[in-house]
Amino acid sequence: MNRCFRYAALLTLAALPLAAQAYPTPQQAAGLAAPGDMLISNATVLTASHGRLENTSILVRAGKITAIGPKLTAPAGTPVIDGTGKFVIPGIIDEHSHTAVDGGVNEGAPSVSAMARIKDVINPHDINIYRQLAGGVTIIHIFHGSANEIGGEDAVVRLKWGLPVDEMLYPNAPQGIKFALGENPKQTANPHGRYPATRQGVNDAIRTTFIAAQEYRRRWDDYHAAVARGETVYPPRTNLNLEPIVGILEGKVLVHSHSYVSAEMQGLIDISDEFHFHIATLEHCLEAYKIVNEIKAHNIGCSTFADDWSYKMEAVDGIAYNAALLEHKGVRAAINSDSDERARRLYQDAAKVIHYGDVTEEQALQTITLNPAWMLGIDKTVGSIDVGKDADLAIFNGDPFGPSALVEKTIIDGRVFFDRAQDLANRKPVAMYERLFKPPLSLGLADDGGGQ
Amino acid sequence: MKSRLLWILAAGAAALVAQAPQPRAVAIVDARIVPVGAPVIAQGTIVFAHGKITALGTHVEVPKGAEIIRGKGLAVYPGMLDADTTVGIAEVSGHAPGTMDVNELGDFNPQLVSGKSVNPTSDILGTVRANGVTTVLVAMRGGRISAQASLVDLGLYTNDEMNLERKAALWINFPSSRGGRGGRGGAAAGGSTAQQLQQLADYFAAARRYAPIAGKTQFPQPAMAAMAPYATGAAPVIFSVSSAPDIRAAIKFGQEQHLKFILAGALDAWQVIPEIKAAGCAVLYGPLTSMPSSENDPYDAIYTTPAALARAGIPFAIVTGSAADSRNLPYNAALAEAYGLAPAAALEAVTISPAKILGVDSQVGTLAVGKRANLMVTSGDPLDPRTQIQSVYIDGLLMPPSKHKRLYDQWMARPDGGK
Repeated sequence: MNRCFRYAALLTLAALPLAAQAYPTPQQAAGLAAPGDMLISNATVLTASHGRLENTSILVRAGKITAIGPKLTAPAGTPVIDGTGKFVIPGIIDEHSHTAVDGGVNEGAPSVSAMARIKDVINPHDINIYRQLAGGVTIIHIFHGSANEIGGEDAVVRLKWGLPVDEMLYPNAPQGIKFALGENPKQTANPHGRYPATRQGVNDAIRTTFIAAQEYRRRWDDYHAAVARGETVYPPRTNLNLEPIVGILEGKVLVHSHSYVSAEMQGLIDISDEFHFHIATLEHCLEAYKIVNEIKAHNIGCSTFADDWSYKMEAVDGIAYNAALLEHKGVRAAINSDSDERARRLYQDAAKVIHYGDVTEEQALQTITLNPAWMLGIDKTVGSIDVGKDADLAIFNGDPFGPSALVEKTIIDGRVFFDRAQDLANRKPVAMYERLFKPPLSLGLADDGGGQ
Repeated sequence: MKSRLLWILAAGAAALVAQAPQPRAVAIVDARIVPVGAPVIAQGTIVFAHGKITALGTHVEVPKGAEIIRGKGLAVYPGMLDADTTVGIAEVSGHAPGTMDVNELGDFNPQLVSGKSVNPTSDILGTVRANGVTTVLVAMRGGRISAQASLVDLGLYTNDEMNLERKAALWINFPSSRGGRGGRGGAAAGGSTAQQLQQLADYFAAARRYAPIAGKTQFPQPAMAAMAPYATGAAPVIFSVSSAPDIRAAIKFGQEQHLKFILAGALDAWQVIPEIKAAGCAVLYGPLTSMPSSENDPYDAIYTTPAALARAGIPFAIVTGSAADSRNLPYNAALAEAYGLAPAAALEAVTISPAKILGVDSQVGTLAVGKRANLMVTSGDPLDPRTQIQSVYIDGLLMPPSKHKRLYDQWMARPDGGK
């Protein structure tokens, strides 16, 4: 009876025009789809590119920042957000995320699954999209897991909650691909009896894949040359697993590699030297501080945790000072979440880069804005508060790095996708509904058989 | 010449480190002192000797021969207390069981004492105290009754010296009505929730029957003997719970069994504030870095709960429930502060409040004469992640830098170049 009652309650909830979260109605979503205009007036602006600006306004037209300065005015009818006492930062970019992936993130059988694509499996209704908006995040870099040396193609996604996936993909973001080194691809936690089972084997599997990709490319080159000579030849069979690797060799696909210990990172750098490709980022890279000179010489970005460590053997030499040391030595660092939970408070994690190693406020901010944008190849259009860039912004109640920081509004393309005041207002009718319709929790739940 | 000077300096530093702790008093002078529970001293002096605070105030005489630390521009705060951790008994949480002494086999292990295997040189422990956490409650997590939880000072040299109170509370993973283990423990126990509850009740009943003969029988049962103070309500039991129905069930169980009980975790406490208030029990709330338990919960449900507990007048502390993350205790408190908890209350939630809940407020939790000299010298508010912790004293001794700081210094010094 209890179960029936709850289904009835669920149906009633579905019929209500109110949702617990600020999920936009179709009409609202249509409005959010087009880039917006707005004026944010008289705020403290942390630009991530040219320091802190006090009493500054930001004018947004058609989703782009068109002016930054004191006392700007906007054409009549432009929505105005009073920024007095507020802090505005660029929208936070989470460089390492698995949010909204519908189902698993790893392939079991092959150790190289370059053909698998994240953009095919994004769930735009994942509640974590909304929760992360509420933490000021506007862009997430969605990856495969790390059970495969080469996991597959990534997606750069704007958190346009309520819109279809196609409108969430960041336009013109370079394609990236996930590599993985160390304990996960060598299956420490979950041995499958699959090659490889050592770091040496992981390195070999990646090299072998690049050798195969070179050969595959040569076959296509031969084919195109033959066609150019006017010969009639059959084309080679398309290999979806090697196509992205050829993309890497041609400089079109960015390599982002999960990594922990310095030796395995050095091993991948050696492969990149051998096959003449560039590594965009080392992900996690808890021991990056041990080979910082080599990383710098290869112009590789380092996307790491603020302070997570000691959760497995390859993480025991991870230090909370990693990002600061990299920054001090001229390597660009990002602080990522790799977690639906942590993604909601990346601003606090970025502040820890000041705590551990004393970087500047702007450097700390860059670890969650401009630096990840650079790692994803989208820093020309987003990642800092500059004229001409996307109006992707987060408005805080005060200093985002202080102990009482919270996000009040999150803006993408000049449209408000999260508004705390609106969220709070939405809770009242929901709470009333719960009081009216929800069965008392103490009734019968214990006899429900357990197990969710 | 320069290198010789460096050698002399290094040798001097080594000599300082190698020096046995002196019974010499330490005075931190001209610092801003935030005692917690007493007015802030804008510029004053704090003196400690033999592990205890001997004086603090605006006008304090510095004892002769005391080591003087210049505190100008710095602040002194009491060390923090994380009342739900596995610090010292958990080192590498994934795929390295040899480094973990957290989950024992079996469902009922009240005879185990969590603090017994705390490793004084644990690397995690060193990083936790480097952030100003000076005392922790260490609790094993396995089974139904996991173990007795121990209050441990994160300093000194031996496990014995560190244990402030070996038998501080009894840790119970309260049965969950939603399947699986209710608390933070390991594998799910068998049977329905009702059966599990009955099993637990039977165990307490057996312990009460055993209590009168404890110490008199020639067939002693360590588990039953260990239960006596908890089963009779003389010492606190901690129920690790999460969901609202489980919190209600834990309160009902504690009342029926006439236990002195505390709730730990209690993430959905925000849904049952009146019930918790009526029960008069305390809450060890956290970690704040948890997700709301349902999609339909407000996104900030966890962040706002400490403020709701404070408004209701429920005694509570903020906890991490972790080993490696215990160093984030102040930043857990900051999340609560951001979502409505007053700054002073946020600081109390990680200092004096847990000390009171666990009954050690006469020893730790504030800066006061006679209390343990567990304190930190900082550049400002310890809940602000930008603040630098300059030094940490536990039981009056200056703590060494963490492994993280040592490796940072080592690799910062690496010359440019390389491959």
